Amino acid sequence: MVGFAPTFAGEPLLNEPLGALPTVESLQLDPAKIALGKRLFHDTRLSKDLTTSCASCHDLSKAGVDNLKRSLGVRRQEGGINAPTVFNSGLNFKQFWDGRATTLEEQIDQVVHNPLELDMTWSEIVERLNADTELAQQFKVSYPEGLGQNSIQEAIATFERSLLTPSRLDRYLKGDEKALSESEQKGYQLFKSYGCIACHQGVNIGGNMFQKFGALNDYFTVRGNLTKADLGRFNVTQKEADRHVFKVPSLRNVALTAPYFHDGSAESLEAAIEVMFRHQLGRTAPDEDKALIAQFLKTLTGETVGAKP
Amino acid sequence: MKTFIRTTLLILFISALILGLAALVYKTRSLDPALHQSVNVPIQTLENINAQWDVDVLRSREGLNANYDRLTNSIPTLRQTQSTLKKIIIELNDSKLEQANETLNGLLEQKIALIDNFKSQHALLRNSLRFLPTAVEQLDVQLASSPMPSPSTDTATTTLSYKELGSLATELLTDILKFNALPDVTNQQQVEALISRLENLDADYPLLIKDQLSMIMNHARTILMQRESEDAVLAESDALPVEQSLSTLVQQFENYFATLQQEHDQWSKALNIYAVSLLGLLLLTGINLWRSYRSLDQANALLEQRVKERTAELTRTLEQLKESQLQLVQSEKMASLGQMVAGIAHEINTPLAYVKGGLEIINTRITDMHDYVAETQQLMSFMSAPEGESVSEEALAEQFALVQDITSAFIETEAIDELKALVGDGLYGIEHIAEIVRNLKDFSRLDRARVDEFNVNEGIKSTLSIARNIVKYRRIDLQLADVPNILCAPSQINQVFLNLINNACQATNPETGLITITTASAEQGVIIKVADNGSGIAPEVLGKIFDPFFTTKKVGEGTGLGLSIVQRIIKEHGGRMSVESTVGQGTCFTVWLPQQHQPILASEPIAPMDLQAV
Repeated sequence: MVGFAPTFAGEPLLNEPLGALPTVESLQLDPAKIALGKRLFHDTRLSKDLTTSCASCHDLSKAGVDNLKRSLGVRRQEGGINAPTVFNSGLNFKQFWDGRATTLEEQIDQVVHNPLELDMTWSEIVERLNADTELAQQFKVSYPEGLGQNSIQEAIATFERSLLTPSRLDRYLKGDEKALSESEQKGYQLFKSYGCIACHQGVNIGGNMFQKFGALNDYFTVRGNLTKADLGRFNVTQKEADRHVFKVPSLRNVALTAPYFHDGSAESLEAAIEVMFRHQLGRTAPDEDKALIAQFLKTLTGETVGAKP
Repeated sequence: MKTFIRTTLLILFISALILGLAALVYKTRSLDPALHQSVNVPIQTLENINAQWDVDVLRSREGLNANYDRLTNSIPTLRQTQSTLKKIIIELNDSKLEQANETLNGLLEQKIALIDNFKSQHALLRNSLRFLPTAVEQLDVQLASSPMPSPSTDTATTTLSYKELGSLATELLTDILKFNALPDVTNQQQVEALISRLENLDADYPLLIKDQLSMIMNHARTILMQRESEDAVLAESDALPVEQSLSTLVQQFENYFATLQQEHDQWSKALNIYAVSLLGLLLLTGINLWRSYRSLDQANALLEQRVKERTAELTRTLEQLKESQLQLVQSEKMASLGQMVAGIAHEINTPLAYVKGGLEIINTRITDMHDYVAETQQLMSFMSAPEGESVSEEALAEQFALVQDITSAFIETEAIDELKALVGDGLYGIEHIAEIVRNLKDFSRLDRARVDEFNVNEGIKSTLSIARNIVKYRRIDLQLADVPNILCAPSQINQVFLNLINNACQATNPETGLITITTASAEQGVIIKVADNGSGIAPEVLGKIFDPFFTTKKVGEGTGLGLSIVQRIIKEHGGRMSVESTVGQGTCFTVWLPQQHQPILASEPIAPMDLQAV
């Protein structure tokens, strides 16, 4: 689909709760830094035992996730939470399920230090990477200060910001009515009318607010086996109101990023929609409506996702 | 050393002045307007973001914003602005500013958290408010299509009819909407009362209706709760003194800049005073310098005058000195000549005396000879007288006897031998005088070129003969080796020998005096040693003996130029001269003269001894 130039029949849709993705070009990212970030994103030297890279959990060929319930870090350790996709993560207002990182740079820092994830220190990473004179030289070109914690963080984050996945919905929002089929458009209407849109809105179709998981019907009592990760934003703020509060995830590429939720409990899109209706919307819907919504959600898959390395 | 310290101090002083000036200029550098600007821009940005948040929260609340992107899109800008501001403040290093900024950032974080809260709550409220009418409608449909349950036998429970239930649900919806429009206590209590009524219904409604009811109540409760907490959150957000904190920060900046400006003004004043003082100092220095130059000029003129005077004086003195020196040299010459002439006169006098005596004797003998010749002639004339004039026999005999007497007297007195001896003596004396004259000529070599081949042995001998009257009461031990001729000015070298021998004689006394003169060939030249066993020279004097005018003799006896002239002659010949002396044992002068040196001919005022000049 690369190079496809749609001829839009109509004008861009106005006042839609969803927004079309910006182009990567409009972000004016430095291509050299993107290239450096891409290298490091796949670099296992960032992990203690040289087994794990960012891409281990955020596999670009798997829509930026690992399709595991919980991700595996160094020494094959299972993490506490489901890995969200790296695609479009630059558009999230905060990072991690509990929003404990404000920027991608902070997110990278935490993953590096997490003993279950990369289990490293910056000095170790810098030392290892500096041994790679060619890489160090390339860093020198893009960063006056050369290879270091900040430049590594920024390079990876810059690369991640470039990972935008325009979808058929974006074309639709830009006025290409034919980009969505009739039933998909119907699904979009249902997505809005059922109130999914209350949280999954904006350019990233989510990712710009927090919400309590089980806002209308308690989720965790039903599920049981409460873990620390289940406390969500409470872990960050220690406020009672933030118990079980999570960042509303972006629904872009949602069809490819199963299993769903922070606990990876929903194995299918349909199951996830079911949980959302029950616990977040506090209402029921006919199966055909849910199916239509699922159809709509599949239009959020980036048209170039999978083609990316 | 003193000058060095003075210069160093002066340099230090000037450096300090310049440093002071530089420091003041640095302190008074104009306040960077970009700094003011760099503060204004981020503060303006923060004000805008804060204001925009308030607007967007209201717009979201009223449903005018389709999504929350506008509330979150500004966050990267906010973070960047905060970090910019923080950097500026850290650079300004002002605790009040830091504090104001901390307060502001804290408030902004609180506001962000409250807005996040609002978003969540509003999403739920909005969904429930939208869904509740549908839910009540759905209930109505369900009620209409469901069979009425059998009334409960249990008296404790209240079983409402479907109609009652439906109208109760509608009432709840109405009250909820009323509450949403006007969330006061009355409306709230009304809703709560309705909810609790519905909750306490324990009738055996069909499951569908039960579920629908609980769904309705869930949403009603959600609305009740979210509406309330949304209000609380918004009130809290409104109450956050973000704007106030921003203006406090602005005020702090103003204060800071005002202080800076004030400081700047003070420093400016200080700089002005400093500059004026410096100018004054400069002026003072200038005046001093001008004065110094003027006095220097005067001093210069005076000095020049003095120098001229002095120079003239010195020139005069020098001329006088030259004259004196010439006179002195002349005196020395005269003194030496005097000595020598005395000696030579004495030498000549002796042979002259016996030549004179001999001649006097010869003179008397010549009278006798004259008588003898006359008597003999008389006899001859008697004997050869012509016949006519005959001479008596007696006269003839008498005449003969007379001549015989005279002749025998001649023979008896050996007068001829005596005369011969006298003539011989006279010749000897004349020969002797001739020799003296020859030696004198040899000594001065008047008859030769000034530079010539010269044998020092002969020079020594002729000098000794010239100086005979000086050396005749001393024992002279000549140890002359076979030395090569040297090229030199003989008269000068002879003067050296004469001087050294003369000195040696003067240092010794007639009874014991021994002067040893040694020559030897060496080092492409000749060594001449003149040693005496005289009084010696004291070590403290030894160093001065070659100084001109140094003398140990009484005034008038010596000029003190002798050895200095000697040394000069030796030097001019490229030779060397040394002296060793032990007091009480004697002195030895050693002269080395090169064989081939072309002597620099002596020039005035020290002229070689020139007899013709005498």
